[in-house]
Amino acid sequence: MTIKNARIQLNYSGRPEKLLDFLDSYFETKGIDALRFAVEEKKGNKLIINASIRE
Amino acid sequence: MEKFIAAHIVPTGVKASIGGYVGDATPATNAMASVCDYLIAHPNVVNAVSMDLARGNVLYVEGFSLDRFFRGEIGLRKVHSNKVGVVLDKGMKKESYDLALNSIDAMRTVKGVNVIGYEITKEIVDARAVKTKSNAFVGEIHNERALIDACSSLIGKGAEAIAVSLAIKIDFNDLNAYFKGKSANPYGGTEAIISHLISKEFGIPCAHAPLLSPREIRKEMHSGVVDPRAAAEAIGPAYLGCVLQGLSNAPHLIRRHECIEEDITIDELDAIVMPYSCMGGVPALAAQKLDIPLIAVKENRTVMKATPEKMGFRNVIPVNNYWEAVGVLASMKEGIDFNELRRPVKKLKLLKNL
Repeated sequence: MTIKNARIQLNYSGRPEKLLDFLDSYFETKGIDALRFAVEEKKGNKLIINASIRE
Repeated sequence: MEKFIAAHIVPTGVKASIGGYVGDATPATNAMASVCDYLIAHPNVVNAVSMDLARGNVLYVEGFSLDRFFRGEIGLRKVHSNKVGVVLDKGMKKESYDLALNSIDAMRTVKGVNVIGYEITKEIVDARAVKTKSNAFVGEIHNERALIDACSSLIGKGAEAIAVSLAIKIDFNDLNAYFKGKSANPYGGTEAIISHLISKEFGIPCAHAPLLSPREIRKEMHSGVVDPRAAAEAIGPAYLGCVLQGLSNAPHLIRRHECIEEDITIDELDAIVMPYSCMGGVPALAAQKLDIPLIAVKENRTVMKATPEKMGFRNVIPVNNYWEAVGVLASMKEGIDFNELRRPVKKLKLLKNL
């Protein structure tokens, strides 16, 4: 397995306190093993996320 | 009386003006720790090459494990000491190994760190630094199996904590810019994913120190007078020193359902302190979810753009600098509403019945 970097764009219009659950659910549903992720930027509803992913 | 416990987070590889170099967040960390019973910090905050000068009440917890702590999956159990095993990358020159082994022996003989031994990976792990569009540094690992096998072997021989020292491929232009204070630490993001991987696989304390090539060693030792925040690197690249000191008594990571009363869990966390522009990681998102006060320090600038305003966060206490953060923490510990330390006093509200 390798670990690579990915830049992901998502739309999110929910409440801030639900954002962690939303992101966890996104990675789980997509079957993505994200070792590390962070929202780098939020423009309106658009999230720009950087993630370190195991493939 | 309940303990007062806070966490200090400075994400790795984001060019934080305080904590983005080597151990340069230690004074701020120690000042905050002086008004807490315990302050939880991660290696990037206090690692200073050969030195770890954090106070005794600073708990050293790797980032992935810290994320699990914030998610409520694990608690922290304080220990007096750990047996530490060391993993070194394959394929380096003798000069690199000599520096690493001397660093280990220095920590054994001077600090008394219990190192059970070291292993060299069977294959090169091939770790590389990657620069993102926002000029932060993240990393890639192309042979994680070699790393996992070496860690597994050391744990089988009794290691309770793992120090890893791998070669990380970087662009020397980035290292030059870093020493001039113009770039994020090129090693940082890769170090974070190396330790995240081990934490995820084994659930024990771990941290990473770069294993430098002879060219990198010479570069670090002969860069002239560097940015003061990187000076700990320019006086000697014995990176394993700080890692072994931190791991020597890093708390054990206990699954939540196995925690006992003395263990520290997320329910006991009173506040998190972070840079103002770094609200997009798990610690800040968990603070929002669990309504933990989040002290956001404006003076600690980074290349990130996830400010409380953009994230729509409500539980944030903005402060200009760490002087103010210490004051807010001290007030919270004493049970004083920190707003009452400022003027004008807000008008008392008449609360209407719903």
